Formats: sequence, C-alpha cells, structure tokens
Amino acid sequence: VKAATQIFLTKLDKLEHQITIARLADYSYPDGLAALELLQSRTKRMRQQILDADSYSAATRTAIHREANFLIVRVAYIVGMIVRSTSVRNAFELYVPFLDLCKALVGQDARLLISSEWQYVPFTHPQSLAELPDFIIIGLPAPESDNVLVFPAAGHELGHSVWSKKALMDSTRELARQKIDTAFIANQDRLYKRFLS
Amino acid sequence: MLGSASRNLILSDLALEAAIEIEKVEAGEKAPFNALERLGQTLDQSTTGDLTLFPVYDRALAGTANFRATSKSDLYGRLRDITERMHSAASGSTTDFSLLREFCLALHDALLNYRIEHLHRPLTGPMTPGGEGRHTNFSHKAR
Repeated sequence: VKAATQIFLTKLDKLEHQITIARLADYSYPDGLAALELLQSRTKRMRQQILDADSYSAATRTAIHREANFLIVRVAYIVGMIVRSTSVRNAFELYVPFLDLCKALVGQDARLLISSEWQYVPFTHPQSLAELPDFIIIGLPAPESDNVLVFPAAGHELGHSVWSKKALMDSTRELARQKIDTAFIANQDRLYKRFLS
Repeated sequence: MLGSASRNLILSDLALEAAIEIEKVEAGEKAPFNALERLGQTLDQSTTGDLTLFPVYDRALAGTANFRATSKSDLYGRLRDITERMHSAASGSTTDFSLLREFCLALHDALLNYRIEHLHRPLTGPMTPGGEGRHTNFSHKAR
C-alpha cells in the first residue's frame, strides 16, 4: 500500500469510526440516523475507491484522492451537526410539529434535522446539501436554548426551504417590483420628501 | 426534484466512476460500462438547454487533448462527439479509451472545482451580525 493511500485510509477510518460512534447516540427521531447511514455509505464507497486506486493511473488516482479530501471535509461538517442534534439543548418536543410543518410546506419527502449550534446566528441548509438532498437542516444558537423565542427563528429558516423549493423568487420578483413602482408613483410627494430632500 | 448541488454531485460521481471503469477495461478486466453509459445519457440531457454547467463542460473539454472548444456551437459539437463515443464504448465497440478517460477525469476535476467554488454555505438569519443591522434581539425573553 502506497503512503498516500495509507494516509487516506487512516483519515477515512477515523471518520467512519466517528460516524459509528455518532450512530450509538440516542436519537429521538429517525432522520438523524438515516442521514448518518447515507454518509457512512458514501464514506465506505470512498474507502473502497482509495483501496483500489493504487492499481490505476496517476491521473485517476489523483482524482480519487481529491474527491476523498473533499468528502472528508464535507462529511465531518455534516456529522457535527447531526451529533449536535442529539444535544439536550434542543427542543425535542417541537420536532414533530415542526416536521409536519416542513412536510406540509416543502413536500412529504422532506426530512428534518434541528441542531443546537455554537454559532449565535440561526442558519439553515434548505435541502441544499448535495450529500443529503432531502434534508432540511436548521441550526439554532445553543446559548439561547432556554429562550422560547428562538423557535420562531426556526420558522424563518424553514422559509428559506419553501422559498427555494417553490422557486418563489421567479413569481414574486416581478410582483414586488410592480407593487413598489405603484406605491412610488402614488406617493411621489412623500417619496421625494423622504429621500431627496 | 434534485437541487443543482445534488445533480452536480451525481454527475461528478459518474465521471469518476466512468474513469475507473475505463481503467479496469484497459487493465484487461471485463468490467461493464454502467457509469460511462449513464454519464453519456446524463450529458445528452444536460447539454440541451441547461447552461449552468456550460463553464464546467468548457473546462472539461479544455482538459482533454485536442478537444478545446472555440465557440458555443463548437462546444456542443465536441460534447456530442464525446457522448457518442461513450455510448459506442458502452455498447461494446472498441474506441479510444484513453481519450474518454481523459475527458471523464477532466470533467470530474472541473465539477469538483465547481462544487468547491459553489459550496452551499448555510443561509443565515434573521440575525446578520455586523451586516445589515437586522439583529434579532433574543433578550426579549418572556417575563
């Protein structure tokens, strides 16, 4: 086994080990485990490609190594969010009603991960992670986990999913432009007074 | 319906798997060209109308010997040439495998770069610290 292969195998083994540990956590709802299974399957397939790579040309081997590097970075990032979705800082009792909301607004295939994150900014991956295309991932700030008002922020984050899934930009841009134009024309005096004085 | 990030990942996977299939056949294995065939079909579909990946295809052709496109119509013509060779290889005809492998690797390389450049970072809000002054004040706790 070549040195580079060994390095990648070690990295992938460590990552897979962490996924295995993550799967042992207590998941109140099935979507976290389902996401881990998808990621583990991708990691295993990558491991096999790395093992086989020594018998390929240098160009193909390099392509496999580049892909492996990217996969390791991506999977580690996503597994981190899944692990933090099991934190007791999450409002588990709100998960099911929120998932129902997701399914009603985005589609029945929607899967949901809500994770308590150490960023003081709520965020979302609105079914935009290539590795988990059906998953809406919402991160909420851990320091505000005692604050019930953090959950409406999750509603805002869900709006991102609805916005992209229903391609609302296309239908609302022109409508918004027309409404703004109409409002400006109807209120020119106020407009000039406010902005041009 | 898959998002663009997932479509790009699938195409990227297919390109790499197709290159591996060609490696195996070149090494004397009797490996099926499943990924190569699917890649050809996917390219057939994605080159009719969807211009999002135009720069990716351009980079992939530029990375393939003697296949650099000089214009948009030239690009589509060269892509058609490549995909026909893919279908031909998948149906058992002998073809220039090294050219196909080179294209598959160049396509994977271009797609991986594209995936890195267009990585879907999380969307944030309603707080945007230091940005647009739209901070949610979480201090308004229920009293």
